[in-house]
Amino acid sequence: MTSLQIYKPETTATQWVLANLNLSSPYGRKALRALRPANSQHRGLLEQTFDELAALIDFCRRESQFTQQAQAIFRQLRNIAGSVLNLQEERVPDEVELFEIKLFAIHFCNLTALIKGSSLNLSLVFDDLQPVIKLLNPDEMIISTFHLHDSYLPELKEIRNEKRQLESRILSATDATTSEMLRKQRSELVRCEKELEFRVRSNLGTQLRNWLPQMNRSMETLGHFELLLAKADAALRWPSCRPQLLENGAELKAVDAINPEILEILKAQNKEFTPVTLDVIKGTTLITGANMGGKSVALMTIASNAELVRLGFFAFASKFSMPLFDYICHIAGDGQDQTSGLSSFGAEVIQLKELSELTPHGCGLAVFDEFARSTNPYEGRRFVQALGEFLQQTGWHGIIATHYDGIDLPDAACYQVIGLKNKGQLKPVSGDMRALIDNLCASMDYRLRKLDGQSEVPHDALHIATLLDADPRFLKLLNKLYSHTGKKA
Amino acid sequence: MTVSLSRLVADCRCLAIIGTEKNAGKTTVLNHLLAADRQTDLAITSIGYDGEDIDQVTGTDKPSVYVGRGTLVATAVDLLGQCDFTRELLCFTGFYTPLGEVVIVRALSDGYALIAGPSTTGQMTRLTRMLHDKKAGRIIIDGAAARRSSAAVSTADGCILATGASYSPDPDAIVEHTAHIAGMLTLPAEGKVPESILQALRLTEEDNDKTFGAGQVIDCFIVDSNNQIIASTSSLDDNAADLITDHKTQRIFFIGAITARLIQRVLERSRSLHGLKLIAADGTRFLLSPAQCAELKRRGAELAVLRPVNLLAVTVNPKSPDGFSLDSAALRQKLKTVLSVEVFDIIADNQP
Repeated sequence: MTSLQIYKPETTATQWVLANLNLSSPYGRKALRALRPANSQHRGLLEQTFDELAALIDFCRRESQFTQQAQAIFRQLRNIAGSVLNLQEERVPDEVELFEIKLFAIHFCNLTALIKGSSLNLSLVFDDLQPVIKLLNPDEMIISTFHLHDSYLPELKEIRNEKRQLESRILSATDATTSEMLRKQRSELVRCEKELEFRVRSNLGTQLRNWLPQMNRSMETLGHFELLLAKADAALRWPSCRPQLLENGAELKAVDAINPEILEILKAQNKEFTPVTLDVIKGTTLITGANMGGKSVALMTIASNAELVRLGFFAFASKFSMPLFDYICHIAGDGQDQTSGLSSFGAEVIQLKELSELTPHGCGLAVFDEFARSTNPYEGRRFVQALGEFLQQTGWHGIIATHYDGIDLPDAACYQVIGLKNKGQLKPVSGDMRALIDNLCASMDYRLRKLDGQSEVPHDALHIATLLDADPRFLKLLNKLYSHTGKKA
Repeated sequence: MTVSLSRLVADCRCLAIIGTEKNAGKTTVLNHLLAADRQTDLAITSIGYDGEDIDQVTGTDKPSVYVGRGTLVATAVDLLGQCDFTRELLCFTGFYTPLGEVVIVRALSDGYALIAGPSTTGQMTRLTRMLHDKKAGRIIIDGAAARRSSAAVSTADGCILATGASYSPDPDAIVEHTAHIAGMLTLPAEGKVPESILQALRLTEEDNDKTFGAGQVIDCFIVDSNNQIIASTSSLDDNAADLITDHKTQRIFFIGAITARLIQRVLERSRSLHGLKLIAADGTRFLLSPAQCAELKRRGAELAVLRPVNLLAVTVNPKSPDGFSLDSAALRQKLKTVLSVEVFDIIADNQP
């Protein structure tokens, strides 16, 4: 699961979830950067992650203040990797580095105590860094400041006392010559003090080096734990479930899956997200439906959830099962790249080619949002027909959303967005664009309906245009054309 | 002398010491206050890092500020090694300087300190809050030359201006220059300020570094009598002077500096400036010559600030680094005739 490259999420929805995780320490963020999707070889490891995550979610649900307390500790953590590296390279630590290490050890022990004091059982091993604190805090009372304590070296105490007395004499000196002489004496004592302090720091460095393995491990443990806690936090923030991992050829089954990004956007507008329920078979699953009927959101929701499961997250759904895919691909016709001379259509073709090269490497989920949408309908329909057949041959779990008519795939699973309600009474509301869209949303049933037979494409574009209050002259022309072809709505 | 300098500034919770020029005796004043008022709840920091100290780092001179035991010092980590007091590290601040992060340390003995603090007003405000949290009763901010001391004077609730022979061998020139700077610092406050301008100001003060090199930013706003912004431009724009003279009966707010170049153009374009009011965040932002100020005034323009500085005293250093020395008493006398605050010569006043 390791690779030097940073993982780039396949879907924007996954990217959003990762960007919105509650991670505040450099260690948690590092763990996120190291996160890689599991593949069919890692089933055991992934199940183990889910076991641990399930336990943590359960625990956080019961002990709601635990997350806040842990996060308060994470927020205070600084990155001590540089100081630890200096120790490793046998450099004498300066007081700032020693202070950093002490603070790290204190926070780490506080977190360990918080976990030990709870009923939480984790497979993560938390090293005991108390001896590190003790080393950097020779007094009885643990304080969150640091200084090179007198007790480290008897001579240090002596010289500091002597220096202090001299400083008092400087203060009470009345003439410049005496003062100057005393200052000279003081600078000699300062030199001695610095030498002794160097000895102390050097000695502390030597002793700390014995704790390097523990310190390195602790930084990693912190990262793993913070990321796990962030995953639990996400699972509690949005409806979620433990995903079930199935055998390779099995269907992906999502019940009431949600897309947290869209859900949050809608929530801000006081609207609700319509959850997606869908079975994706090995082969082709076809989704048809009206424009603005939520096909793209449904695709993104399924693809992103499958991707998040591979990354060790709970699925955002009430039930979610899937084979452990080796790769997930989301082709949405938005790969247009004018700098490399690719149109959106060209990019789709290239992406499909790249995807095909992955075929020998296990099973994959391939999601196509309006494939070949930007070419003409005559050819586009043929491209989609061919893609549907191709998916059945390659053995992928493929989903195609399209509004092309007459795709003929006998073995495909077909779904349709239920679409506009009460088509007879639809009329635009007066008001701004927001009001028009809100009215359209209210008239739209975003749920997917499974079709028994072949796909059929509803002809709702005229309705949608009417609802969006298109120019009346334009609508009149449209209506005329529709009645000519006998398809007036 | 009726009252000592340390007594005069004793009630100030946050004091800034700034200079008219380099070598104006800022550090002498600072050391004097540190020695005269050895309270254990004192804290000290500086804006940025004063270039003149670098010679002392590399040369044979000692670091110049001598702090007492118990003093809180906020300075950059790279300078800690050159501070010679025994110390306790209290906390990291999260403010970064070219010399590393600013940390707060407590002096466990007397000793010399090299100090580099944050250089933006936003960070300095937060730092003073942190120092007060660490039980600092009084904070002294070691400023720089006046024109670079915005972060210090904006944060402090009192200010000492150091001046001296380093500016000129001619006492009259020193007096004119000092009176000019003191005049700028104590410009009257503008009461009615549009909220959006205060917001823009806060935003730039939060982090100056972010706007650095951004090119021409909109920093000049024309505001009418209804407190509405009616036009805005960049003060670097060639047409800024035209815009100002076109609206010369209005108030002009500046987020950044008001430069001599811009004012020269305004003066070239219009004979009467009656009704014009130029407003900046504080007196350090007026980078004008005394002659320009006098001319603006003569033509009827007013100057004002959002945050007037509470100037408590002026100090003089009659010695120039070039070796000559002016008559301290005469210089002080001349300054007193043009200034409304007390004038001190730390060295002369404390001679036995």
